[in-house]
Amino acid sequence: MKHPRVVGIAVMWLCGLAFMALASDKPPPSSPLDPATSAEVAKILDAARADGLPTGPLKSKALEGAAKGSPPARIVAVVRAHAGALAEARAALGASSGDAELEAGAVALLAGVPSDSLARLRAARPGRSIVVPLVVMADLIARRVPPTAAATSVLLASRAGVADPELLRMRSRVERDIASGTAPASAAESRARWLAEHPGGTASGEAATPVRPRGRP
Amino acid sequence: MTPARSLCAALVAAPMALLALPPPAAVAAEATTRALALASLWPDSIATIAYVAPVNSGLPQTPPPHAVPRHTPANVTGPDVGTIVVRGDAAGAAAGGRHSSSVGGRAGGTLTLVPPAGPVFELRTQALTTRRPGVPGSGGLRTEAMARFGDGESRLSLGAGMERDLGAQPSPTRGVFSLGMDRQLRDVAMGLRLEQSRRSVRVTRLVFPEPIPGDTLAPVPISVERTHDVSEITARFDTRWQRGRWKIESAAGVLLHRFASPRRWAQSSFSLGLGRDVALSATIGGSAPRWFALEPSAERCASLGLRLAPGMFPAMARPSAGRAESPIWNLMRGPRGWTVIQVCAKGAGRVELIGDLTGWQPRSLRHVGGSRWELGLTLEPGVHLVNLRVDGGSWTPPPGLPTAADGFDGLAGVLVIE
Repeated sequence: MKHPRVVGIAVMWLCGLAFMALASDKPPPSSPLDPATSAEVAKILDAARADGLPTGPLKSKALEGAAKGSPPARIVAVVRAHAGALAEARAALGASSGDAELEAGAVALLAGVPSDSLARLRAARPGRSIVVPLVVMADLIARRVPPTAAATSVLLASRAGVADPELLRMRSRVERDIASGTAPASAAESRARWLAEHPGGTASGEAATPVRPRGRP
Repeated sequence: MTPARSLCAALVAAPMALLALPPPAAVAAEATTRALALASLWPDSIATIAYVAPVNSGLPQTPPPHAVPRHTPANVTGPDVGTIVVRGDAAGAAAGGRHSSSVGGRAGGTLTLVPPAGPVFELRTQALTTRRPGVPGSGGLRTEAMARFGDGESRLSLGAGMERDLGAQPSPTRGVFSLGMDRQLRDVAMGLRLEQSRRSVRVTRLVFPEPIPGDTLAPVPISVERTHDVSEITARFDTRWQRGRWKIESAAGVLLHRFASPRRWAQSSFSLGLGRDVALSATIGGSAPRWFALEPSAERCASLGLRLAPGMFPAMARPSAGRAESPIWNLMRGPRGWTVIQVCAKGAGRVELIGDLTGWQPRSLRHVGGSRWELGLTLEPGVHLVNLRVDGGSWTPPPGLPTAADGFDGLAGVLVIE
């Protein structure tokens, strides 16, 4: 072989290009829904599309139900409820809300957050994303904080100008408090009150301890 | 050395090697003991005693150093800081066969820089030495800088460095350039590495002098020895398949340079897991270039042995012993939405992720050593729902993420990408 360097470089490039092409070749997943369920979901999607709602979360919800082995009727009901929640979120948050806010709002509404709390949250944070506050509301409710108390706590902190990272830390602290035996409602309210009074401090109400960035519960 | 003597030597030396290791809690140690020679299978069966001890401070008590997140689990924007990881490893091997025996050692260190965005940079230095009876000792030193692109599933690496031979026949420093590709497809991992370096080769040629007019004697050829500085290309392709208690590894390659015919080599290893950290392992193959060998051997060999390595067969972990009840979840953000999801799940045999970011199709995370698992995905900005599953258990929200009811009597983790 007279020119091994040239051959080597050519082989390297060819292999690199082939590898990149292979790496980008992802086959689309086939639909795991049966035809009848797919048809029902398609109707809901068409209606949502006609109404100007994002359809991505609805498709995702249908696939989630199938992946988690839920019966078809349940999947259709959940997708329908989600579409309704998206419409309600848009009505509460305004037509200019982004898809992420609508999705977070729908998740919060389905968790039990009152619809007017969404509008109040929007008013409390004008010009800023309310995705994280909505996510925190839904999380608090999932941790057995009553919906009204969850909404009130997050609204209180939001009105005090608490930033998203602080809200998320507050959520973690509430989770820890509940795990240690504090009543969910009082855990959320006390943490939010402390945070509202100390918007630049930690959410702990304790000495400023470093917050673990990793997710160990 | 007969198989019986090899077996005795292995049985004596293996405990000594293990005793020589630092405490297991401080290092991730791997010990390989080859105890029986398969004389009938290969021309020069060997019995080898070897151990490899990669030292990685921080494991396994704490999360891997490179898992320090660029963002918190919910992607809260904050000061992006890169991460520097320093690792060391050492290995030693002694082999005794029917026709030869050898002793070798290898040590190295790696400095890894994980910047907030873009490729991961790695600076690696390795030194090795080999000694065989009646042959002058040889060794080598290699330093290489690499840039790695991609994630835990597909990676492309570009490297440049220098290498020199040490020992009885030292060589001048020469450059090394490499390109590597890795791909993980479920249980199969494949890798291709191409490397180009320069080597001095002594070539002896017979030169016939010009005939002298009128001289009736035939010209006598003269032997002329010249040293050529030639390019040498090494290609290595390796595959690994692992499922449950079975593991098959193969490495094959070819060495090319202009003054010799291509030198091909291949090694295969088959392992049957006897436990999470123990496997019965058989290896067969030829002598590979020293930097590329799957198993160190100076000649073609076949061997059967017991391999000890922490977490080598995670699927063999007992569900009740160290089961990943609270895995650590971490995100590393790259450019253009590329995100590497890292999970540290002690004792886990399989970690899967599902969510809208995978089209609600379960995706297995790649086991990257110890209790670490990784999966790379492109995440669009927005709200994503995600669940984790360990060892085929139930789908649960990743720890530390906000959760929400999924409508199907469960909870999903809510991942906010801004």
